[in-house]
Amino acid sequence: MKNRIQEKRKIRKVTQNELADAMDVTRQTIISLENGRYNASLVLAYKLARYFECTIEDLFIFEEEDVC
Amino acid sequence: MLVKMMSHAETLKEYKDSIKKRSIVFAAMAVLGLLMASSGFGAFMTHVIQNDHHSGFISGIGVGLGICGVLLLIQNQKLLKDEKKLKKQWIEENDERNRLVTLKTMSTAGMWAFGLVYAALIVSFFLDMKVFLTLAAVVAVVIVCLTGSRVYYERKM
Repeated sequence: MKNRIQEKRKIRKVTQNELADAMDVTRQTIISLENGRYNASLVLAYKLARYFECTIEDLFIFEEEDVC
Repeated sequence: MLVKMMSHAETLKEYKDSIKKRSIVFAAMAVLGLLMASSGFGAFMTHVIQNDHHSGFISGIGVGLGICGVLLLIQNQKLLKDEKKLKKQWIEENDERNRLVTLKTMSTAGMWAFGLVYAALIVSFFLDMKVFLTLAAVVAVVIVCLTGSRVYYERKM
């Protein structure tokens, strides 16, 4: 699943470390999310959406091929 | 790793409480290790156990357990005194990706180990009956544990 985390983070001028601290996750998790190697849990998706003041749909791009 | 996997703390306060509980487990580990090591060395010196390998095995396990217990206890006490380190460790243990990586690692390793033991079980049937029965017992225990876990999580989730 693609996402706009990196884009939104850069607009806000927040580092990966700062975002990781705010989300209570490791920096590696943020890196994996941004690279699309890892899909966030529902709780983390909510926390990220709240942090960036947007909806989950704005942050995560759901595509038909993501259906398992 | 098992202790970390089994204690899941949602908040930092819960994590601090679980660290305190872990300290008791690690202290017990250190005491048990000391007891085993001293009994192993004692048996070796007094020749209570005729087989030197047995006393060496007991004292070896005891020393290992004792050292691990003491080191983990020291690490835990340091964490309890430093809030910054405590939060860092909590994030490291509670991080959802890390937990998933650990679960997948254990699952994959478990399946491979089970497959290899099963293959060894078949080979051992033609070579040694004692080994075959031992491996059959291992396979039976694994199947019982897998079934028990499956039933538990089917009901829990």
